[in-house]
Amino acid sequence: MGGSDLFTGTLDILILRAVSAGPLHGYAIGRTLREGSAGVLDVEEGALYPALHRLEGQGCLKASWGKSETGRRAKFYRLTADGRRHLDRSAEHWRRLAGAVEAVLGETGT
Amino acid sequence: MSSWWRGGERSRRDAQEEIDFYLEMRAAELRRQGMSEDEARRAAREAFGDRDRIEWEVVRMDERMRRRRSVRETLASLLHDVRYAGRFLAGNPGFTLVAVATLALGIGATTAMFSLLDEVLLRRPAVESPESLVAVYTTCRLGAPRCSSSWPDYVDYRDRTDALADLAVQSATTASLGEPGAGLQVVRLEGVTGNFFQVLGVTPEHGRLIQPADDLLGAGEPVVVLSHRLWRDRFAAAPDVVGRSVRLNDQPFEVVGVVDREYEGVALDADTEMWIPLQRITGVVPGMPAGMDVWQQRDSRWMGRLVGRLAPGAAVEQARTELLALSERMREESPAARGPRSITVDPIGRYLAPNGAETDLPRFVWLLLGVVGATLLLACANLANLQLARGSSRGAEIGVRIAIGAGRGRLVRQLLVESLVLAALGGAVGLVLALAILALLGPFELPGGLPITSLDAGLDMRALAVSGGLVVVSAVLCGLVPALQATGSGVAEALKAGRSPEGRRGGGRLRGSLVAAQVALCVVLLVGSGLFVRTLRSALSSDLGFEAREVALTTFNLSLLGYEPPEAFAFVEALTERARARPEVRSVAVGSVIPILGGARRGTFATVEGYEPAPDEEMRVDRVLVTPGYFETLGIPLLAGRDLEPADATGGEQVALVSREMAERYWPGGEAVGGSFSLFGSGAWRVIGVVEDVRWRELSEETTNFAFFALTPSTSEAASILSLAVGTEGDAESLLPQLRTEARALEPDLTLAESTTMDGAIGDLLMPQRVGAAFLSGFAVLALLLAAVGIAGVVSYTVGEQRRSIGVRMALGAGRGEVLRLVLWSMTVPVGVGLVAGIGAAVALDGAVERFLYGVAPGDPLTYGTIAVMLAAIAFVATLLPARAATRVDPLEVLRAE
Repeated sequence: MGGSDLFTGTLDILILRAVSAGPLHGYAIGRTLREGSAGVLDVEEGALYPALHRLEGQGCLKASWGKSETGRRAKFYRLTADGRRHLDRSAEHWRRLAGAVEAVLGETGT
Repeated sequence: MSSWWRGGERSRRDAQEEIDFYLEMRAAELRRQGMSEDEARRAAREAFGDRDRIEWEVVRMDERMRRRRSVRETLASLLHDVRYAGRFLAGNPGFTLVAVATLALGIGATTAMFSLLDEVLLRRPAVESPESLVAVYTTCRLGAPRCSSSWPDYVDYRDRTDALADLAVQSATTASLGEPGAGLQVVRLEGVTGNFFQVLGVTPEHGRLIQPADDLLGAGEPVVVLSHRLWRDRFAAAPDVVGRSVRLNDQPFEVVGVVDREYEGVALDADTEMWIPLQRITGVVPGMPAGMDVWQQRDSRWMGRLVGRLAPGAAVEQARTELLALSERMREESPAARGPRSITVDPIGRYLAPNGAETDLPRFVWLLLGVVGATLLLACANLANLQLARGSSRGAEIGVRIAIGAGRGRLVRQLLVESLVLAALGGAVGLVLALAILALLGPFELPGGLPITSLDAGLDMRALAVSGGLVVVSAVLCGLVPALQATGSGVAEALKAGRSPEGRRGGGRLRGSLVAAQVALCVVLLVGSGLFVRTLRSALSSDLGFEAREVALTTFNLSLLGYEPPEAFAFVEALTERARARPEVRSVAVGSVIPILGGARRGTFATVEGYEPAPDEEMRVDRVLVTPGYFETLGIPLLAGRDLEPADATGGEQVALVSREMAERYWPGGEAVGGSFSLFGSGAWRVIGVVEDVRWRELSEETTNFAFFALTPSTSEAASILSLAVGTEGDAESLLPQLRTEARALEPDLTLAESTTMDGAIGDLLMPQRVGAAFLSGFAVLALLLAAVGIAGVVSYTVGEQRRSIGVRMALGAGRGEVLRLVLWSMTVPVGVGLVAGIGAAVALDGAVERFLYGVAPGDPLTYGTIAVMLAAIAFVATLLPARAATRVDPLEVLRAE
């Protein structure tokens, strides 16, 4: 479960990060995640959707239907104020954790 | 349900569309990388993962979200309604105050009366399965179905029936507890058979209870069981009370246990403090025949109540049938024995009413509940009227809201929420009021001499639930109709026309019927209170058979102090002397029974020389022991012959006086004086005088045979319950402390005496009528006030509504008088209908109060007439005052406003 929590936490941050620049539909978010990050969607690309809907339920995202670049109906996700706060807090948390891990790894290295 | 389903369907379609979009975009991406159409599709699907599961998860999350959101929205809109209502009510403090106060009174009084009813009629005795218990009484004469039984009766009932698994005896009396001279206390005592507590299934809190071995025939053990309260109050809840020795009427008893704290007897008026084996009671209670007599005489009936446990599967009706058949057989077996005539069997599923109040008590409690319930209805009618008027004056506001698209349901809901907020406020205040009302009623008594305090009625869960229900019901009653009316059609048109809706016939008719309902309820309450008040007045001035009212009365029982009859007689003589020495005292005497106050009544079988009874005639005479001057002191007229003289107490011929009833029944020729009669177990008595019949215990009791005998040093009753009666020229009440001092100078322990005046005794007797009169009058005045306010409100509203048409009429030349007549006429129909309906309802409800009336016929035309005239007058004034405003309408101003 610990691993899955870590995964969930990571996935959440990556999604929030992806939409922080502006509203995106699911496919665009998925592509950003696939391109930019360490294979969180490698096992199952569809895992993105439960995460999106969960974040919507938590109030971090707001979903609305719109037209995609190809003219098709698609659901767009936008970051809410709550989502922005959540992202900032998690990013800070991750950075600190990463710093600590870095320090430990650096020590053993020498 | 279907909307939930449709919602689920939509979530599913959305999820499918979203995922389809992803897969297509992903396949297109792969095609661009060089895959064929089919390959790209398959690869996209594979990369996506388990589509069904993912879709299911997404739908589930969406559903949960949607549900949360809809609950939140409902709550938010409800909160909005409440806030809106709060703002509105706070903005109209006058209306809010009147509404909350009215509802609080209605709900509070109804809740209080319900909890009284709950205590009296619904509570189950704290014994094992009370529904299979019965109380058994022997019927002694017509009109008294619940009398004592004799030991042989009891044995027959117990052993010769199948429907009763077991039968026990409880025989109540009083005794003094403690050591004479040191903290003597009168306790209520019950002699019970050894099986009593087993039959009831009651357990001890400490030690043990009375057992069959304690109560063998002719050999009762001197053991005593304490009530929880006595143990707590007198013995400071000492854990080592078991084994202690106490003295009852100066005889040693050993405490063997304390009864379970929950046990409070099987009757509402039960307050027994100690239990002893029945077989011991003859030794404790003075005046009981000693030896085996008491256990062998079938005519010696002294055991107050028999309590039986039904055999498994047997019904109460079965026990009744069987016992009635048995009494029939017993009569055939020994025709010489006087009775038993019949047997009464009562179920004990609920607490038994005090003896004699079996029908009066529930009827009275329902009456009280009916009165307050009617007032609550009235309060609701009034509020509904106020809301109706308001609803119309808010027509513009409501019209605007309908115009901007608020649905009718939404508006009705909002108006209902307003009523609910009002009712909830009223309910909250009402609960406090209910406690206050119960406290206020505490000192009063219900029929059967049941003090309201002793019921310990409070606000339990049931009472709270009832008041909650009342809040909702009154909110709907006073809010729904006005809300529907206010949001009904016509509002929008009125808005369009740019004026408040006028002359909507439906609204007018509704307001009219509410006025009629208020007037009708008013009539019912006023008639009720009028009848009670007139009963009180006629009772206080009625002929009780004796005239003296300024009489101080002290009742004492010298046997409790261990007096023997000669000593007791000496005490009585000394006390009489001391009282007579006071200058204001007119006359002094002592009697074993005093009119109205009562006392120790002793009915005995009699035979009269020269009188042949009918085959089934029961000749019984109540014996009263008196000292010379008894009739003079109480103002009982001597119709023939002479009073007793001191010489009659010191031997010579046995003489007696008889009551008019007895004289006329047995000596119809008028030759009573000089006649002779015998009582069961005593010799012949010669009649020396005849006195007027008096009321002994009730205002409307049947007159029965009474005979008066001289109290002598050798009568065993001298050391029993006696009352000193002191007639005075002045105020009897102020004489009481002096009498107490005199008595205490002779016997310091006479703190056990109870004192009152004749007026006080009559007052106590009329307690239910007093409660009824006070209660009904209070609520009738309130109802009158509410109705007056209601009528005035409707009239002033109607006048305001019809300003235009009045203005037009006046412009066309109508005079002020004409306008006034028109407005007054508009109220005549509803008030008239209300009066007629109210009188009809009051006549129909007469039966409910008839039992409590005295000297007033229920259909009393004077009461009805007075009330009809009074109400009409009040309605007239309530109409006239606001109607005058109509005549001040300036036609020019009204028409210009068009």
